[in-house]
Amino acid sequence: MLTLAHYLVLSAIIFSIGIAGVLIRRNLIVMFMSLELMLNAVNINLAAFSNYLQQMTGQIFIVFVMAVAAAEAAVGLALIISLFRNKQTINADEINTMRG
Amino acid sequence: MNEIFMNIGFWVLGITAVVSSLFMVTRENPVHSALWMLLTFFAVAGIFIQLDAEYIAAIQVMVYAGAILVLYMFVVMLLNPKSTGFIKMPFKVVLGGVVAVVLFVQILMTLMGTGVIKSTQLGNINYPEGFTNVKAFGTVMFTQYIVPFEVASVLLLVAMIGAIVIAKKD
Amino acid sequence: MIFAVLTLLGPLVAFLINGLLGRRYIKNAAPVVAIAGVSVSFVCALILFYLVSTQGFSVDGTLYTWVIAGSLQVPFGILVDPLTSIMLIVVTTISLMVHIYSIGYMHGDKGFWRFFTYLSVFTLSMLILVLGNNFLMLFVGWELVGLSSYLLIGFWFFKKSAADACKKAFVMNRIGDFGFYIGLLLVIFTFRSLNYSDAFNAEAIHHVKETTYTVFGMNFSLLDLMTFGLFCGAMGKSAQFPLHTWLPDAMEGPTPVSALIHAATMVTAGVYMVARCNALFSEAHMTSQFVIFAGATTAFLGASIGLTQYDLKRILAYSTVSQLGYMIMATGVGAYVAAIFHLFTHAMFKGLLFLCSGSVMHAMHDNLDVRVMGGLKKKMPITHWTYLIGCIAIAGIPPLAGFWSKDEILAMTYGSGHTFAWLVGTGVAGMTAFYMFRSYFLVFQGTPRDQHLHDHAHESPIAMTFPLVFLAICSVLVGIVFGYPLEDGFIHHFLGPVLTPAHAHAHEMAHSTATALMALSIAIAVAGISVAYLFYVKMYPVLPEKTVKTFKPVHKLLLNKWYFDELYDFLFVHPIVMLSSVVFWRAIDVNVIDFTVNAFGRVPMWIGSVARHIQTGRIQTYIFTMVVGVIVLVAFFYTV
Repeated sequence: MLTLAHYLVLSAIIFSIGIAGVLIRRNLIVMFMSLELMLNAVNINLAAFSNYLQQMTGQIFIVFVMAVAAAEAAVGLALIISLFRNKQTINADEINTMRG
Repeated sequence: MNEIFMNIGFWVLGITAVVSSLFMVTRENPVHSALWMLLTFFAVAGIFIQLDAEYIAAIQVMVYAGAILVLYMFVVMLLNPKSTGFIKMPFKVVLGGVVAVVLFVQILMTLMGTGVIKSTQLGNINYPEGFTNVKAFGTVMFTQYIVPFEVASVLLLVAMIGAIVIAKKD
Repeated sequence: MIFAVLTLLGPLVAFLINGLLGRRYIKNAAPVVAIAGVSVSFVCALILFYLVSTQGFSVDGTLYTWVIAGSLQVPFGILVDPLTSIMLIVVTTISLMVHIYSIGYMHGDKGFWRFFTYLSVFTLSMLILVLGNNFLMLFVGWELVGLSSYLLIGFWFFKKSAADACKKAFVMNRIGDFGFYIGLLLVIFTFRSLNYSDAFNAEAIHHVKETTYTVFGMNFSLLDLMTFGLFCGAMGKSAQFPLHTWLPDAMEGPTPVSALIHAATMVTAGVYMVARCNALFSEAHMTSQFVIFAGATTAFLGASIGLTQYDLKRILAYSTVSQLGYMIMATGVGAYVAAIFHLFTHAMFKGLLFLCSGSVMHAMHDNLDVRVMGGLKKKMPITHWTYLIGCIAIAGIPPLAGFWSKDEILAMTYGSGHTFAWLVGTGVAGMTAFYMFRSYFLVFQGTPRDQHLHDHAHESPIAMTFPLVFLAICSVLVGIVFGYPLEDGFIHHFLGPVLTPAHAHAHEMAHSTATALMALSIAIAVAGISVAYLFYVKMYPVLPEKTVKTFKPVHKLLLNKWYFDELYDFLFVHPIVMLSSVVFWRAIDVNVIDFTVNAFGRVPMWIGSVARHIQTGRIQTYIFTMVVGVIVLVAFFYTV
């Protein structure tokens, strides 16, 4: 028997893995991928609630989340390219010009 | 019978998603990471189908697996960064993992607190007579959410222009 | 209403165009814009004057409500009545002439466009001052003319003397304006309104007439305090004793400015204000006495200093001070019509005289010392004749303008029983005739005293001579057209209704007395001229030198302007400078204020030097902190 909780827990697991990815990886591209993972976890949540509440609104929001994810990926990757061109690195711990 | 299939499907897809995302986070080579992420996306698409969101599953495959992931692959190949892997301090790696686990526990506690954990079985979405998932989705999207939809399109346009401006050689 | 608004809009638009585009785009075409603007005002002023004089037209309207503070509402309102229309004529005529004159005078100056921008600002401010229908607009115009006066005196700010003079004018005016401000507050306090129509309401005044307050242990009526405050403003702006010292120094500005602001229009704002508030002033007996005293003193001081000065513009400046004293004295004795009439005629001939002096200056390579001039009659015929007309007009020889208004002031003063003030006024009239013709004889008659300068002298261009001729014609005509017959002329019927307070009782004079006074003032003027002729033509330079030797201390006193500047330096400037440099600077500023300010800098620097280590510059640190923050927040909501 599948309940709403199954899906919510699954989503929580994937979300936490995403957070861990952002925190422990030094490669900016992989950090971005982890962000996408977190967004996916949220999408699972939305879809599950859409089913639970018998409404389409949740699915609509998934589309918006995807639009935002696409925009974020495009701009973020552009930034990474620009960064790499100037610094010859995309390692997050080597980019610290803002150090106090 | 149907329910058994559903159960098996959920467990297979869920475990695949969790395992592949774990691998994605832990692979040293970004190309491998990207490939594991592809698997995650497919698994999540399967979960969407289980949740009666066929249209979302389709665009999950097309947009995420097809477009975004390819974009990541392009960048990875283009830059071909020499150093990869984790941040250099093992202590911080452990700390990051601990924080993620703590957050997970907190989410679980929240779920317990609200009582959703005892919720009833999920079924199918009951569409009105003659409606399919895509038709129902489209009806809501292009009536109630038409303005946000247009705003989202503007957002994408802005992101596209921004990406071009940022990434072009000075 | 539309014409009144247009009158304001003309200079406003010209100012905006010149001010915004002048430096880059308009440059030498600036006069076209400025003159177009002031011409609009001039034409509107003429139309308004025509409407007011023939149809009894008047406006007291609100454009919009400007200030709303509780029950106090101050509109941006416009008042057009006979007094306003006369002032409009004065302001726009002189302004237009000065604009035209400046084309020639300021030609080739680096700040050509800037000059015309300032002129437009000034015209606009002066029009706001006279067109407003409440005290606040009067005050705004008042401060704006002060500002434009400051800008124009300091037009050549790279000269130290000009920079000092503009500061001096500003500060002296501030002193007066402080009183004016207190007067305004008392008006609000008393009438709960700033509108003229509320404040000059006979009933309202009747209510507060008996109210008295004790200040410094003495009883003053409320009206006395109020009008004294207002009059302080007039003392500053109209250069009355003891605040008169800024006006002669203001001559550092370009000559057209001296003609426009420091002779014809701005300095008469005080007279206008007192005349406008005649309903209040005529009820304030103590202030009236002070006004007469200030006016008579100023008239005498100005004239006496004028006797000895050698700088042509300073002679005219002290003459202006003296004539302003006349006007103020006239308002003090209740002869408001005569005051405004004198304001009107004085604007014409004093504007003329200043512009003539500018023309002379032009010919003399900016030299203003009358001792090096002489014999310019042949070289500059137009300037010569117009200057002569101006001198005759100010000396008070009929039928030129000055006679009608000055004689009337003296007659009214005598008639109102202020015999001493009348005596002073009559003496000053003689002195005026003397020093004006002294300057005339020294500049235009006799033989050249500096041959080199004389050889290079030449008549000024048409742009400069045209205003001279125009104003000379005005100086000849305005007196007889407006003021004949004496005390019953056009201007008296025109201004009478607005400038005669309800209770005022005409000082009836026997016909023979009036005739005798008239004859006396003509005789005094003629005597002054004759003495000047004797001194500076017949027996020059023997007699003047001898006189100077005989009255050496007096001459020195007058030459040094009664040592007013030195006195103020000693009394106010010196102690304040000492106090500032010892107490405020060395003690308080350095040890207290600087320390506090530095502490404000040092404490954050110290905190920053500690806290900077938190900022690692690494994204992951920040994300980590954020996630920990989320965890803490969630935990917090659990416990609550």
